Amino acid sequence: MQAEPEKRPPVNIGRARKQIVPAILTGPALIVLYLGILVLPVVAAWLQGLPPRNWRDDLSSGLALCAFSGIMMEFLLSGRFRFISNHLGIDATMRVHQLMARTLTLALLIHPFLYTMGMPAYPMPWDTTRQASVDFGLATVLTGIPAWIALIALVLFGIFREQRSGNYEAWRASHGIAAAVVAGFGTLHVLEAGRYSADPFLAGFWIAMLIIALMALAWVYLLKPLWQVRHPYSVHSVRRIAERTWELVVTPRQGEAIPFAAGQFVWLNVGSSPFSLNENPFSIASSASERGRLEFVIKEVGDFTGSLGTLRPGSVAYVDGPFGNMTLAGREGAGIALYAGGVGIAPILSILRDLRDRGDERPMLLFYGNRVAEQIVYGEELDEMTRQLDLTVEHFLSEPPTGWEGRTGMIDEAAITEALQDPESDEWLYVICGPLPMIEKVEGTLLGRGVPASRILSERFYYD
Amino acid sequence: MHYARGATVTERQKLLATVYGLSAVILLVSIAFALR
Repeated sequence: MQAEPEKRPPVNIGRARKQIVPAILTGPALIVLYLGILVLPVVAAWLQGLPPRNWRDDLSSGLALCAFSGIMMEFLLSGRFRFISNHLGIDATMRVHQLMARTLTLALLIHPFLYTMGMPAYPMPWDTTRQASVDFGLATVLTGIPAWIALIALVLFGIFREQRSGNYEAWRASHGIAAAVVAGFGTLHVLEAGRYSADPFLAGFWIAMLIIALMALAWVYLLKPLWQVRHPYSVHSVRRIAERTWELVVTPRQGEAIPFAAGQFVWLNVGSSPFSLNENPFSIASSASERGRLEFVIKEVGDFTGSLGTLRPGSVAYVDGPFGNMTLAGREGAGIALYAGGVGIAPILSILRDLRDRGDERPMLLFYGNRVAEQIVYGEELDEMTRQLDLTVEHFLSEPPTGWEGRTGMIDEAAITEALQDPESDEWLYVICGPLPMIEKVEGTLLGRGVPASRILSERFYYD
Repeated sequence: MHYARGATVTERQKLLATVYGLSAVILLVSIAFALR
């Protein structure tokens, strides 16, 4: 519809995609592997051939064996391991981590209460296979109770964090420490108290799982920061671009910036040691074809984001990534509809800039919602894009100023439906990023119109 | 600051089904073990 877009060489989506999906382990293969490791301790216990006990006692052991195996795998589902998160999808990885944690914690919390057998303070020497008694000695208590309490703490910290978005660094520190306590004391507990874990194979399994868990922690908190020390970035610029919203640009001190696919995010640490916990996930807003810089659009919500105005050019920054699956790579669409709410525009901007740089000729639609006009970022660039791409941009303001010519109110069902008159709209790809109510509204409307669920891609800031 | 993730509605539905399935497996395997 508009002037011929500027043609540039295809960007590195293929390269980034190749890097993030080398495809030895597919998602289903990872799930089967997960399931196998989950039930392996129970199967191993079963094969030991020990005489069964009361069903409640063995149910307790079975739950504990499965659940502790799952707990140890939680370390690999933290979202920081691309060989997993980029196959399952980081959304899926984190969600499995969160949801399975609840099941696993519940199983481990009830397991001591299921025992019907006596709990003598000292093992009965004639009961060598613990057929008739549960070890409730000092070592068992001193290893089990800290792990048990740390599990409860993990859940409470998680709930607290969901309710209060700030204090992220404190949450991250507490989460790592409590997880290490659960893994360490939990392993000591199963080795000390477990009837079935006295078997050399199962004991070896737990020690191997502990080593993997500790290596995962070491990777995130030690080895990755060491790599980052050798690959630093610098703050190129930081400027306020809207109400409580900042643009931050970082450049690699050597070589090129990391390759990524538009819509992905990185963990960003600015001005702190890479060993510190001052690291936050931010969507990249720049085009994937820009290899010399990474641009971010960040909203002030407390902690690090509240200090953006104090950053100075030249400050050191560290980047870990890319992560995330809200990308067009590998997804087909006759057209692309994008819905952004507030700072949710950041990954959408990256996608649009990338489409512009690739000279994409498909029809596109952007719905961009904000509360007030002062919150709109890159309005002129978006306007320019309507001439470079087959793009229609609709701004929505819930508190419009006098004389506002755009849409008023939230992005609603009527507007979404009205805009999708293209007969091929069921073949489009729909990308949504913003506050949860907006995502649910848009998703619900699109699903109601018969858009296939597989064509609706969203990115949620928070869950639950 | 936010967790930037991404998934289609279908992918999320499959995920929830997978997690419920895995939780059910834990329970069923434990019950089978208890009743062996």
